[in-house]
Amino acid sequence: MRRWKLGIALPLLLLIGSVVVPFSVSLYATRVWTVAMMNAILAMSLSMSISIAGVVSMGQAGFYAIGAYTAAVLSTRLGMGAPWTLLFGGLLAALAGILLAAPSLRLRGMYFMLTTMAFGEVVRLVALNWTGLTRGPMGIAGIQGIVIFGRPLSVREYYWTALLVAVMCYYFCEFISRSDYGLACKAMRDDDLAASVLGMNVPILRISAAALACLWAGIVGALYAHLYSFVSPTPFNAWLSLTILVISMLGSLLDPVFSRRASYFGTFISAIVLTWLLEGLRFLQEYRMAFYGLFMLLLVVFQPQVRALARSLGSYFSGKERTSVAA
Amino acid sequence: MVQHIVNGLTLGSVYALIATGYSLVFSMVGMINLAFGAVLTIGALLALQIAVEYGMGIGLGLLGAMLACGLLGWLTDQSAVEPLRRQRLPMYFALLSTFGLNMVLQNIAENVSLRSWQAEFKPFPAPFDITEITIGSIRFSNLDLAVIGTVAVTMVALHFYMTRTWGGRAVTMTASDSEVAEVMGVNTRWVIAFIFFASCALAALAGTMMGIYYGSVSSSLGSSPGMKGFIASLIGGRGQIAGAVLGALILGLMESLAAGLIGSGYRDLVAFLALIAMFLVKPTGILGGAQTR
Repeated sequence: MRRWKLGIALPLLLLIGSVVVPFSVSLYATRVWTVAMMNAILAMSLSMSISIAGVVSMGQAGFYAIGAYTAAVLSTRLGMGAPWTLLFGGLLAALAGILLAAPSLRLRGMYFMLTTMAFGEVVRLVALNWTGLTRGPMGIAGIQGIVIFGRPLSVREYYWTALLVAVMCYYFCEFISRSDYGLACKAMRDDDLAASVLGMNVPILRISAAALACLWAGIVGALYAHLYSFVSPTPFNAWLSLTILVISMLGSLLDPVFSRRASYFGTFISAIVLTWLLEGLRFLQEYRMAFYGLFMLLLVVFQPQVRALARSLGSYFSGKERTSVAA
Repeated sequence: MVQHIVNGLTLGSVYALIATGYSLVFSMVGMINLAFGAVLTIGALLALQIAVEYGMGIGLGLLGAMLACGLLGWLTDQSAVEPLRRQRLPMYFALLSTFGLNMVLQNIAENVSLRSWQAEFKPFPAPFDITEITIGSIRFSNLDLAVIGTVAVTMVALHFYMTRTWGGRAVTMTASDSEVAEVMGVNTRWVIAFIFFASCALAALAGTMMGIYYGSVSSSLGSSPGMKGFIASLIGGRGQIAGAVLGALILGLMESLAAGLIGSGYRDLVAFLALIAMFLVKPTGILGGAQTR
């Protein structure tokens, strides 16, 4: 009973809280909340591809950049509007994901991760050097904002848009994980030989799981382009990819706190927490990154302890000992 | 064309030192130490500080930098890698933990160097007079020769250490099978800590040579070569010194040809594309064996 309450009440509370957030904080804080939502989308879609298919990407910033640049070029060259740029940004990023995942099917573990990391760098370097399309280090400026009912969105409305996309992404990830497709992916992740004997198309499953994460990264990228009306190669570095990966890792560690019916809730929370942590560390000024790096290091090293803490919190909330499911 | 090849050789030999550092660590724990780039930078900064600012000469500067960076390598092992090994976590988590450490070290190097020098770049005077040598249409300086020579001597010394001495055999043994090595009385924890020490000392040497070669040092010195080094070690063959040297020379040549013939913006792109291509063709690298999952 209590588990049910937590599983429904907490997300509901959070949702109401998130909707009213911009009324209580400054415009600057609203912007940070918007960034948190965008990080949440990136991390949740990555979490999904990790948890269902075991596809760990260290190059999400690359797909994010593809989405952002697609939206920027379509908007400035062709004058395309918001829903279409988001769609094409997502599709192009997904296509890039397919093109990367298809040849690297044989790679496992660290080699796949390093390939994706190299791909992320390749995207950034192409954006830096293909000056004909991307204007290189100068970036593309003057991207139109999202216009609805003939009126550009305000900062608050951008936040709500990002929140809406994040909620959509959340339910998308939950739905995919529970669908037959998600179960097939999990079978493949645990033992791809057994899965292929059972008639599953292992290559298609792996490629599509990677592509789904890239699709969302592309959509958020397009959102980014409209929000800032400026894209340059600088922010899409390996550091951003790693940040997204750390958010999704903390999210999966926090998972046992919440109901088992909400597998991506932890990632959502951890995106908010880590985005605000990075903002909160501003008082350290130039030493901010050192502390963020230290946090990352400690999180990885102490992850069994964090997981155990999350477990005991989860069983406290749900009122009974949680039977551990094989993740 | 030939000129680019000569430049590529010098570049490749510096990469060879860095790639060897990666390979040594890879052969021990099967992972890439992403904190290497920052250690490289710190090595160059320290060598410059000791040799020029304190006026103690390049020999002491190099020695101090190598010792300090070796200690940083040991610290990397103890803080970011050893705990994962002890808890038997998958080694790819070490990519994340060492990247975190990289951020810490990089950030400290940036701030300290900026604060103490009040400038982003600091000239690193060469310890001897640079003379240009021209043979036909090819030009190179005695600095090129010094870099290639130092790397060659270091690699030969390392090779002898690994094959002819007791300590080197303990390292080789731990790399091929740490459990058997443990049974045979090798303290594998010490061996691994020593390898982290040695690889980071090599990074300091590489960083110092780059500083002298380019004539200046900045806090962003190590980030790009740090990446290139691991690309070279993976292209050549994971965990092998010969592979690391081969991969580094190939990468150095490719980069300098790309920079000379296509445009300098493409040198980094070529390196990353080469890594992806190598993984797709043969994930274990040119000299690597069959792939084991």
